[in-house]
Amino acid sequence: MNNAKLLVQALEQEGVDVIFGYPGGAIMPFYDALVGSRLRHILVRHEQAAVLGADGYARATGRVGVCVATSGPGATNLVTGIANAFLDSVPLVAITGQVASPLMGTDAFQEVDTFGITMPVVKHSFLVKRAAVLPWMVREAFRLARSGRPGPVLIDLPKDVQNAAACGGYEPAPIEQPPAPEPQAVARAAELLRASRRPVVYAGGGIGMGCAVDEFRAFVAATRIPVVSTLKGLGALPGDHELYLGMLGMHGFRAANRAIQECDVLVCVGARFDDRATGKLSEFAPRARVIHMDVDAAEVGKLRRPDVAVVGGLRPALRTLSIPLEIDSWRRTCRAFTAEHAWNYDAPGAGVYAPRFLKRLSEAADGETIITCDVGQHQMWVAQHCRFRRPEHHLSSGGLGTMGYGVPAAIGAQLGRPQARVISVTGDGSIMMNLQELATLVRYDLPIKIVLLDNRALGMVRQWQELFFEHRYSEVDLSDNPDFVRVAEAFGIPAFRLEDRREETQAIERLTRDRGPVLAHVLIDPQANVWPLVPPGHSNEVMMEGAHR
Amino acid sequence: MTFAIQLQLKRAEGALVRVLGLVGRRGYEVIRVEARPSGDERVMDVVMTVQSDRPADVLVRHMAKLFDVVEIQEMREMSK
Ligand SMILES: Cc1ncc(C[n+]2csc(CCOP(=O)(O)OP(=O)(O)O)c2C)c(N)n1
Ligand SMILES: [Mg+2]
Repeated sequence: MNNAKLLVQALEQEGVDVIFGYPGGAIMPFYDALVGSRLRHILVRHEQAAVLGADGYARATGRVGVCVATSGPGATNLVTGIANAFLDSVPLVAITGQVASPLMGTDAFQEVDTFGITMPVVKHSFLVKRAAVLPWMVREAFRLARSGRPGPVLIDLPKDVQNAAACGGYEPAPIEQPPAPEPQAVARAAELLRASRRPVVYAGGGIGMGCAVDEFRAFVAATRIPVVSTLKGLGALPGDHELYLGMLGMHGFRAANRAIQECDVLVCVGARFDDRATGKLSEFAPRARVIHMDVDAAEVGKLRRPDVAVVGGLRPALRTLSIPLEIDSWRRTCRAFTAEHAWNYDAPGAGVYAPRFLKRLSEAADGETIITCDVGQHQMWVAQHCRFRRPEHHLSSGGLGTMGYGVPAAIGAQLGRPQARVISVTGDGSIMMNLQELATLVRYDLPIKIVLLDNRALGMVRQWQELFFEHRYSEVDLSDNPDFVRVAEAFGIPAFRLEDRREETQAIERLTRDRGPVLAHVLIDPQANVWPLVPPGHSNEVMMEGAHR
Repeated sequence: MTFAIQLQLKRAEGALVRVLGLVGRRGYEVIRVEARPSGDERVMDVVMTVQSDRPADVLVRHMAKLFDVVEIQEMREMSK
């Protein structure tokens, strides 16, 4: 048996069922070993879609996503997706072929330093120089990818090592629980909470990634503290929960940003004080003492010094902190914020108003629907107006903001959750970044629904040029877009166009009932902007508003 | 401020580059670095002097997460 075969068997033993990849010279022994294997390989049409597909699979299932590419251009095409997984803490193992070890360092055909290029964006990486270490490295790669704060791990595998005889067998990596936080820290957090009058929970992606949703909900039920969420934290609390104030930050809801600015204790649970969430950091939650709960010690004090750091597994900490608090009047204040700033979905005109359309779509979809999105205005509208019952129902490229994420992530999610309805909300700019994957969707018969919100522009950039560059529009016009209905049909995907709001109901009906794939080409107002908006560099107290509210 | 960090590092592929890369990327500057074999051939001893207005403890926690870092032994503040 050679190492390529051993690697395939190792993946099988890790419980991997689907891998995403694209073959080429330096990874051919691995592809040869795949023949006859239990692994289901998804042949994408661009390596970026392999890694983003693995990312979507991992986020939707909570398991490690696996992608494979050849050396050189195959590997460099993975880089964006590896960075995407790194910034959003997604468990991923990326396997790349490398030129044979005697050729390494000679500028051989399709040789690049994959190990070096990816170093800043991996949790860890291995270059397999000797056959004997392969089983250990694969095991460590899986262990590292999912333990603690998850992340991508790269295995760069020279061709001669793949061909060499395997040494030893494979033992799957253990599933590790993060260490429980120090009891003294938790006790201090409890003390702070008991003394608080106006606490707010700032809920992040760590809750979902740390499998702590149940404990988090029990904690909120016991303490009854109002909750704001980051982009990745959406769904940690159901979107219609009475204590939920909405997303915070640059495009957050006023109620959420106001509550943060006025709180006296901020309980950060699995979030990282990202600039899109905090606005001007020095003016974020200015009156608050901070409890920072995170599995990653390096997040503590990175941007804001906490008063109490609770480092370790979120689950035990949340369990201990599930204590009743006397904060009735503050809760009433927060509820008043929510009522005062309720969204007005009545937009004038006959066209489709994207926030209302997305809200209606999300209400009509069943509770297990997964929505993936791309990057831009449509992404923010999804975060603001769709309701999520679980974090793994909302797949969005948060940290890296990768246009082109939506369709590949939907493919990964649908393969990981074959029973779930998967809707991909994309933009006319973003969909073109991985348009070729419509062929993958058809090849594997995936019933994904694509909602293409077409504003004939790179809308988010256009919005910034309008507001912060005095209407000087520079390279944001997409009015020469192709006919997306015909594009979809050329790939073999049924498609229809929606322009008139009177046809919304019928469109939503199709998107939530059709069995097969479908693309809805939705024409929206090219002038529509995302509101509210905290201008870059300002405090979250400065929320700009525009028309259509 | 300037501070010193002493660590034990696995002699693994790219280990030293990974540590030095992390320091720079996180907004710290390496002023001096010394790496030498330790008694154990699998491990090397590294001492580095680092400068930044960012806090030392944050960098140490970032480093401690690296798979190849066996131990971070001490951190001395040398000047403000
Ligand atoms: C790969 C990549 N390139 C550039 C950007 C910068 N960017 C952010 S949003 C955006 C416009 C997206 O346009 P579209 O997909 O049509 O979405 P819209 O904002 O119009 O809803 C751009 C160019 C990005 N996030 N990702
Ligand atoms: Mg657009």
